[in-house]
Amino acid sequence: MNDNEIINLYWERNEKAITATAEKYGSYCYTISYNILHNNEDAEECVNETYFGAWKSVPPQRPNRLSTYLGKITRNLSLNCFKRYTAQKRGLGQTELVLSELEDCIPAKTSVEQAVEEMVLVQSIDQFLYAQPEQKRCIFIRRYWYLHSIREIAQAYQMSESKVASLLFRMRNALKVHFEKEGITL
Amino acid sequence: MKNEKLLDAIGKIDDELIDDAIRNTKKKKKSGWLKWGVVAACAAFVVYAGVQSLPMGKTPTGGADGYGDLMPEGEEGPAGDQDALEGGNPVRDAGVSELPMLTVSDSMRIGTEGYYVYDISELVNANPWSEDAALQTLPVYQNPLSYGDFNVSGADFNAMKEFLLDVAERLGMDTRHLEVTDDTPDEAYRAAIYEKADGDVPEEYFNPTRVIAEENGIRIEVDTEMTATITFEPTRPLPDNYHFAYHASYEDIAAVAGYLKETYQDLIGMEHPQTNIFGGDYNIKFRQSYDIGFFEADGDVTEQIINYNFNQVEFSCDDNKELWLIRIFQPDLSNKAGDYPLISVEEATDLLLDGNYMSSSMGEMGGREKIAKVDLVYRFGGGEEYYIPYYRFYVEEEISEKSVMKQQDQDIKSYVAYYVPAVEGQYITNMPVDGDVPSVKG
Repeated sequence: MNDNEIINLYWERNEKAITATAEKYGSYCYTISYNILHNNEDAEECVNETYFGAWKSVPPQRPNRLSTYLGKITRNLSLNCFKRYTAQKRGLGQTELVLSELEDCIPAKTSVEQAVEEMVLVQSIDQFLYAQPEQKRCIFIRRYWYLHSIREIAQAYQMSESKVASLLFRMRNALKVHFEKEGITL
Repeated sequence: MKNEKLLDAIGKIDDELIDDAIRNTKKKKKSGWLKWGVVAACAAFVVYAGVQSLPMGKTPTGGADGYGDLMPEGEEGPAGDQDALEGGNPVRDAGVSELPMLTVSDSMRIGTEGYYVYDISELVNANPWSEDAALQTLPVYQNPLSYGDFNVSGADFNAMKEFLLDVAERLGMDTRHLEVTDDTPDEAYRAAIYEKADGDVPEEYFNPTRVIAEENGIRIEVDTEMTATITFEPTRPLPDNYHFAYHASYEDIAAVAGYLKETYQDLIGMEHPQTNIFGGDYNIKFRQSYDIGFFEADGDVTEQIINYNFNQVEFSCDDNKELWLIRIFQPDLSNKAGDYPLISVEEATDLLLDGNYMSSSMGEMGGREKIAKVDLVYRFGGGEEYYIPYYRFYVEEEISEKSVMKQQDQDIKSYVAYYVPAVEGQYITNMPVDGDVPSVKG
């Protein structure tokens, strides 16, 4: 079933929309959630909440890309779940590592500027990413959107893990410089 | 927390970026789709109502990126493309019994690889290999380049250009308007060559061999072996308290290395750069010299060995003791032949004594007692078909009494490098014999 057909089911309030979503995107959403949480039960719960989130929001939404629409819901839910984790649970999976790496991107604080709104921050990140060569951009997104491990990325691109790590290190620094040039404060 | 805020914001980037990322990989291979069972229509609602969970309960295992065999079938999906996602290890995932046979290449290097020192301990480097590491296997890579009589084929000029632009960015150059050219000879040069050769010149002789960009006194060249060479005009002086010269002492060079590591950290671009001060041998004027390099020290010993051998950044001075040239090595290691089992140092020593070695030495190999040192390196940059690890033995050789060095100082010694493949011999089609590499037929 193609995405338009699935979305139409949502609009018709036909519960088969959920079945179709689960069949087509269940694994995709589960993998996103598991990468963040590293816990089967919690990942399953986030995926189920994703379906409910889609049901509640479509309509009035009519996503252009159902995959990323669902993926974003799952990612948000999973990260919120992660924030409630105890220290021990937070140490599993990639999320804690990714958060630590992203410290490198935080621009130097000035006394005058206030933190920007999220929309402005997102636009700035979009601008930065679109300016990157394709492979570097995709590796960055795999790491910080999908929370792939360095190893998974290295295998996907047939690179050594340290080359991936170096590339990400340079991109994080470049993003920080980009934020500072744009006057972005977090 | 600011990092959480950033992670959340990244979550909201353009859908197109998110989709593209999961579609983009080095190579696209058909993956084996796992079949997921159909889920009951209202199960999600029931779950949310607190009744029961969907019957997933499975750790994602699919593919190199966790999506390969979990992708839905059909023409749509996060990538809209069945081939979009990897399944299985994209690197050739051969078991030991399936490892391809290797050929050892006659090096295209010229001259003798010999070192004049008073004691072998004067030869230094930061090679992360040691016998104590007790490595069982090391990767072998196939060189994507082929070397003909007049040209090199298999080079990826797009990758070379991308590497050049990456280096330019790391130097802080504005790459949006940077013009990248190559070294294709102009008509005048072609005409001159045709004239000299009476018109008998194969066309591939004029193929480009590098990409080039130059701006504001910085020139960057990337050659077919993915070595970026950066030169500065004018050259860049160091602060007065640094002595960056051909024959500076080890201590002076170490200080310079610290300065370069700090000043060029963006260019070096490593999270944990390890300083490699290498050299220490003497020239015919009895002057020692050292070179400076950096490699990524992150990762396990094998990764460090790969970085040390293939991915260094090296700095060179000129006659005026200024920074003149930087080289960044990034050969294409995407064609991994496999992880090959290694022989021990003792086994390699036996092979050495039996004549199963490669060497630029012109004389006879002395006995076991002449072996002063051994380390493990990869040979590349000499037209090798495969990048194979070798044990490199430093063997003392007699210096002729007529030698200028010997006449000036009787205590100076000469050590010549002998290379024995570190990979088990069963995987090598043309093990060196009596110091020669048999040619491979067929």
